[in-house]
Amino acid sequence: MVKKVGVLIIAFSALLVLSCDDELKPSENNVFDAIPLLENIVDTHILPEYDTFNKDLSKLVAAKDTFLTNTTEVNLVSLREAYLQAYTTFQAAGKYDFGVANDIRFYLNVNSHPLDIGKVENIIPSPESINLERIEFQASQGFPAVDYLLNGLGTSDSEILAFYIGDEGDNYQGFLDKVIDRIANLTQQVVTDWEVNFANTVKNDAEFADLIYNSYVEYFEKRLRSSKIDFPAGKFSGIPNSMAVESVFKPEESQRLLLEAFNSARIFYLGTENSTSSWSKILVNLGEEGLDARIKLEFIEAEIALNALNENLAQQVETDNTLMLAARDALQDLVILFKADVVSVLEIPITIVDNDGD
Amino acid sequence: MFADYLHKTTKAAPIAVFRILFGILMCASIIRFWSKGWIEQLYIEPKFYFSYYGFEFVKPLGNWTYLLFAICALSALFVALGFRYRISIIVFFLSFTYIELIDKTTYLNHYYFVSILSFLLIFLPAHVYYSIDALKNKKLQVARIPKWCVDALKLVLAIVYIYAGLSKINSDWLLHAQPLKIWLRTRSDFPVIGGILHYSWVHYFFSWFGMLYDVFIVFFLVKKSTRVYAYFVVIAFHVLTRMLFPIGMFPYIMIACTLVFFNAEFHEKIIRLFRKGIVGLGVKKYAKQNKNNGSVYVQNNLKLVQGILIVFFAIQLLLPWRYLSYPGELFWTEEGYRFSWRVMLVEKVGIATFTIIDPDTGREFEIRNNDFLTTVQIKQMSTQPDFILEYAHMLRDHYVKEGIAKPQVYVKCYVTLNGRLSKAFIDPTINLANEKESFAHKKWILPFDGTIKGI
Repeated sequence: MVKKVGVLIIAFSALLVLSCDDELKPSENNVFDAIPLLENIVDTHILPEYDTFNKDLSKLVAAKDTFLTNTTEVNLVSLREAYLQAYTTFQAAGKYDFGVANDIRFYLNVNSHPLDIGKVENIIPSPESINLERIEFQASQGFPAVDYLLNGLGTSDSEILAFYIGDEGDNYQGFLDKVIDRIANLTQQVVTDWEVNFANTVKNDAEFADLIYNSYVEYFEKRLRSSKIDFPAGKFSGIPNSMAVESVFKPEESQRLLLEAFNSARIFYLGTENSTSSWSKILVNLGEEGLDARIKLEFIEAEIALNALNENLAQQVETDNTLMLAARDALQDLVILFKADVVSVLEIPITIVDNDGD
Repeated sequence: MFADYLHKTTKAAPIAVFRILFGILMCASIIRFWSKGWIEQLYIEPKFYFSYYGFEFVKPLGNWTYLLFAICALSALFVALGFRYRISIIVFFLSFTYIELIDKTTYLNHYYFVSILSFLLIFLPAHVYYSIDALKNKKLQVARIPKWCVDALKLVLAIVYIYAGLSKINSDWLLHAQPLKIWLRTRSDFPVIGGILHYSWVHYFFSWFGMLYDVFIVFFLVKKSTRVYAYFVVIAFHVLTRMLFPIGMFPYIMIACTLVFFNAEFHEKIIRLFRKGIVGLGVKKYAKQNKNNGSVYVQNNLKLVQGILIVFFAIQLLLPWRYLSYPGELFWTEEGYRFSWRVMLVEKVGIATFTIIDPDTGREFEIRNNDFLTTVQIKQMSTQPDFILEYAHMLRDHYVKEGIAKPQVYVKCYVTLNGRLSKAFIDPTINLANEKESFAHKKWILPFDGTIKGI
């Protein structure tokens, strides 16, 4: 009996080896090669995006300094332009919530919206005594605070300017100074760490692929989808809240910022024209062309849904929230592919939970 | 013939070695579990626990869970020592099983294996040899025990292996090498063989070898002439799986348990080694005493015990087939999946988003699962219908307390199975608040698109 079984197994194995002759040929590409991917992510996405943002921030700081020394309407207008430019390039640089960026809560300190206006109004009478590093002030600073200070104080430039040259002018100027310097300072910390050694660390350690993927999906879900769309649309409360949109004091910029972030997230998946590896290419190399095609299709569908929105998302929420919810669903279709399909075929642990399986 | 078989006897050493190794490994498993912080993470931190249908009375114990684990570890140690064996193994079985019943999120086949093995050990005379009990109570000391006592252990192992093997006879496993292909191809970091793990033929080889190993290994272990070789294969197989997959203590438990297939002389050698290495628990004395003593262990309530064990094995043999009474694809619905030695057969990832609707106001909002469940729970919940229903009921009850009179609960759930593109798993138009849990087929599971042929 046992001998027969043994013969059977050997015969079976031989049959197997013979029958799948094609499979014996090495398929060099059929592998998840993390290091080239990481090199591409660092060199063609992370470093250039931080660099662009940091340069725009320098211009913002300079424009702010000009405005503070020479508080005129003209300088207010150019400061606002510099702010919008920096806010725009932040949409790409804000994606990477790991390393020092995570330690110092970079994204949350720079872009927590809706702004806690009550707290900001409490801070303004004595801006110098407030320590913005404290977590209780997380939603009272960053770009939403700058938005308030440059767009939300009045309906015209002269009205807004009045706050900076009036009785409380020093306080408004002091807070503006502090908020913009803090954005620049936080960014500098992140950029410096990347430049000094983090870039090399990441590029040489395959383990970072899982972390970066998780961080990307979390960004996509929590920031791109939830902060920019779900919360204003009232997805988790059933009560729409147009005050929660990004750039709420200049809401006609909100859809543009959303698209900026969306496109950056899409390019992160696809890779730039300079990329020799990307998440998309990894899937194709593994023979998962079908999944890659579906993701690309869902990106197109999502783009259509986002483009269908009013340039003023606050207005969109108030007039026809169903389009907001439709845009949300389109992004959610991508979240499903990222969190179920891709995670499954790439064997990425969705969060680093240490536990036994069987 | 069966009556004759029941009267056959064998030396007691194999079952004593089994008891010792089992006790030590269980104790080590509990300590390992504790030291990794999993008691806190899995049994204290969650706000909600997923019950087994029919075992809803098993409740989490809060910080008392630590005491439960301590009792469990201590009883395992007592089992190893053979100290107050019957009480210890009963306490171990009850405490271990209670822990497992608290939250089905943590279900693993090997925990179930430990539960049924410890249940079986309650009825076996594993303490009559090389134990503190036997040292203290000379009446316990016997030379021989009924052969069926050792064979019962072999039978459990045979069931585990063979059923695990049979469940691998399906088209995903054998014809597509899934899910091993997914799991292996990204493991190029693996020592020595990492460089070949992305080749297709390796995935097929592992799949076929795994199936053949599971189905046939017991036969090679039973046969004396092949036993030693087979055991080396057992070691190699389990060590390899331990290195490739995060399966904790299970490989060591299987390597230790499989020793039971060796003959009594081999086990007496092991005990001599124990004695040299640790303490001579009266073995020498006992061996002299029993040299010419042909006494056989006499089981109290023999008929009752045999009756219980016949029922026990009948259940073990039949339970894995219960899936046949459900329509639909087993790997998709998982109706009748657990307690059947279906190990490593599916790579499933899901994402489930729940929406609450208040019919009185029309207010509609989505749930953030993180507000209610831990990451591990979300992962399990998202692919298994019974979890989804239980969670939906929990959400319903939560929002009734929040003041919504009749909350409706809907879920959008997408699941990927063995590398297939994700597809809708649960009918999104069904109000789960109104659905009842039962052993009946859940009609709101959407059908599986593909086909998986096989057992």
